[in-house]
Amino acid sequence: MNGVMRIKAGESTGKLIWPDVENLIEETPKGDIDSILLTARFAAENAIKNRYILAPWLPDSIVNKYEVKFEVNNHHITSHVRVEATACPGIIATLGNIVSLTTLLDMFKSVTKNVYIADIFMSGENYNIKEIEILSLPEEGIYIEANVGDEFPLVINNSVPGSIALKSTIPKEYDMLLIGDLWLKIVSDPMGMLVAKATNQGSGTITDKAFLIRGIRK
Amino acid sequence: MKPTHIKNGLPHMVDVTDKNVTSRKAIVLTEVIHTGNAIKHVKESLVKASLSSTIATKLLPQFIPMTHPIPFTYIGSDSTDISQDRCFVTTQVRANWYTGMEVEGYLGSLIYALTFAANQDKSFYHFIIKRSMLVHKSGGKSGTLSRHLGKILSIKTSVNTDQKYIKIKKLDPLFISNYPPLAEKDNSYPLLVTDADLYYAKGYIEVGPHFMTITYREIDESGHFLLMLTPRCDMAVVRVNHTVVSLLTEE
Repeated sequence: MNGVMRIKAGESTGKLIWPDVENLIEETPKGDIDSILLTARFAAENAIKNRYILAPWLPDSIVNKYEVKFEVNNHHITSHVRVEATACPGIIATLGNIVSLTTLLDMFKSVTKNVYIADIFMSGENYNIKEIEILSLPEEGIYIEANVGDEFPLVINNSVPGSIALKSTIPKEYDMLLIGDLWLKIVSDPMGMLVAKATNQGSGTITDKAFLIRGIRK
Repeated sequence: MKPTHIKNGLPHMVDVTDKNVTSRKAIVLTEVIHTGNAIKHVKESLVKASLSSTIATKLLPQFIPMTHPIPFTYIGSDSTDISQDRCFVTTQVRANWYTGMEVEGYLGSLIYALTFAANQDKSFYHFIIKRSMLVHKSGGKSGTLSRHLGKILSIKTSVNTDQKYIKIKKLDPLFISNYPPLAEKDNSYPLLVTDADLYYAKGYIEVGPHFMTITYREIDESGHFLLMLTPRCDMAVVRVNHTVVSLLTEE
């Protein structure tokens, strides 16, 4: 092959949710949880390496690097896959994430049938997703809903209902914020302050996490 | 209850030698949304999605390590209610076998959704797989389980501020119609349910981004279910087009 091949990066996150069992993580031995997560990581990596079997339509590419991470919570596990490849890294990462989450579901389905998969999304090529922490908020968070064009200040007094209060200012290289199914584009207002402008009609609750997304294709 | 795939801290297959062969079925529903409102009904992407989903379901034991190979008698995925901003994928798998096959349904449905999204020109990065959940399971020791999805039709607040209601209509998950236009914004809450099926949601139901805990319920004079929610749900501002999901329960 002639020329230089450009490596691109893509990411995907998703959740395995069980709403009906309290203390599942606390009551499961840590060694068992570690084994479950290692199994899911193994399965995701295997799927990335054998991606053409599950997705024969994928264009030929070389995968340079991949990383599978988990965050365990009381009622859900977040699975995060990052892939560097010469083509379609976001799709390959999403494929790995689907297998990771399905493996987790297989491991937890004996505990509760009410386990399910939710909120799988992916970043654009060469860009990334960053989960950010939110300032202290009421226990159940702040619910917001918006129509296209609605604006929200990004760092304000969190006692104001409907506000978005972030722990840190938004790094300039990020340009989208996802809260629930509400997508907010980060723009400057006439005073030069960063604001979040809704790009869809959606809603979400700011609890302890939100996703900053860089480089969503328009 | 412990994860049965872990023994002495290590992953292992569950021994199903002594189980009986029964006729089994699993149906998984996956909701895909597009934040740019630009889903296209492209025949090629639907064909690729159907083929990839079927192949992935057949080959699942190669990818999900502790599952059993299953001789399927039927695998079928279909997309319904394709609109500009969302579509639903329903995957059904059937077999006469020793083990359940909900994991196979999940992978088939998710691969269908991924293939459908990835083959939509350049708009892949606007797609979110919002949820993928088992809606029906039959056969085997656990019997028949079903999960009901519903749609919030209207929202009203009681004169008594402690009593807040949402009116919900249950829909067959296989025949979900397009969402209605948004009602006016409203702060709403506990539930006036027009269908008895959510009665079975004894612990939680999901409304939009929230889990609501049901702590009290009664039947009003009209035969509607009044579901009282815990104070934590006071944050749950609910829109008319939110999907309501009940727990998977015995039929």
